[in-house]
Amino acid sequence: MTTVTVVALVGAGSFALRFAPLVIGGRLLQSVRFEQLAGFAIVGALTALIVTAVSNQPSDTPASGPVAPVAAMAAGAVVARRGGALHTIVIVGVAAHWAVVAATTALGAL
Amino acid sequence: MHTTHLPDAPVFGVARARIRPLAGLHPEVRRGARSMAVLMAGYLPFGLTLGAAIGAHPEPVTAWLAAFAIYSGTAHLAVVQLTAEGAALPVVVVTALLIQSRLAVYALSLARHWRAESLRMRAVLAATLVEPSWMAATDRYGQPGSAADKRRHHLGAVVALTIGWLSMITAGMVVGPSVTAGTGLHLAAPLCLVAMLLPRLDGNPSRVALLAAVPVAIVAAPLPAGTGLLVAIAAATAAGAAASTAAARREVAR
Repeated sequence: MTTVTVVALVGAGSFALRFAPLVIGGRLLQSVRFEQLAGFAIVGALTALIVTAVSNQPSDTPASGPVAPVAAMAAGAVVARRGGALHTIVIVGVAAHWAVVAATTALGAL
Repeated sequence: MHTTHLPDAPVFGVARARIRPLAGLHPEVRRGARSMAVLMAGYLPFGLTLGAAIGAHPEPVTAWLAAFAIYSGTAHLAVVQLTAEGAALPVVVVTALLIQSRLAVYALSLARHWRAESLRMRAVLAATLVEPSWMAATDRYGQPGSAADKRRHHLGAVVALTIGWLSMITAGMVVGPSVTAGTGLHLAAPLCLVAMLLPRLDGNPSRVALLAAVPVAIVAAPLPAGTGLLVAIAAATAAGAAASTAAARREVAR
């Protein structure tokens, strides 16, 4: 197996996955129902990407575990629901992470 | 006695043009590039991580060039890691395409906006479709403006995305991911995804879809790469469809 072959196959497959819906999807999406279903599918895809990213995070302190990244996502979600800008969501989320890591470190030192 | 030379106005003009490289571009292109710049900052830690993996790959040049063909960090990282470990070709290809399957959903959601574009332009738009460019497109297409302006905005965003992403993974090959270690910045990419997701929960059925997707995604996370993604998509679609059907029935019953 060569890396070039893999890259060519994945590249071609990726392009097909992106391009085919643009050719056939215009007709399908004349249906409001289908557009609604595509919206639900996007919710599922983004949720899975977030969960995967959070579950793969290296923990900064042994005591914080998954609590710090989950707190970061929750804080970011609150800001996002209130219509916060992207940079605000990231800053608040990372700050929440720091706060939880600092708190768990302090508790662990007691 | 030393005198300082003060440049006259035309020289200042040249200097100002030089420090504003986007100055000659259409305002929509500039706006698209600026909107992407904020998102790109969030993806820096992930770009550095991918770059470090590429740097450690036995064929680093091919692994770097894959950024153009795959144009998605998650699938690119899977390909780089699996080929470095010597995994079988079908395993690598199927894993990467499962991860990429979400892109078909993004393309479907944009199909009606891009229906009037030429086949060649749709091919260009498709080749650069990934979460950040999808977000830029859905935001801009939801605002007033001509189709040409929206296209310019999107092209400005994807050019900035391509340049920024290639710069980040190249930097990652040199410095590795250690620059951001311990800073919490590794959470910036999933926080960007939260920013994409939350404003799109525009009704009860989509909230039901989210409530169904979260536990399913957690349970399915240990499954082989890409499989959990498909399971979560299926769960969210089924739950959202059921909720919207129930809502429609209640509306009819009234």
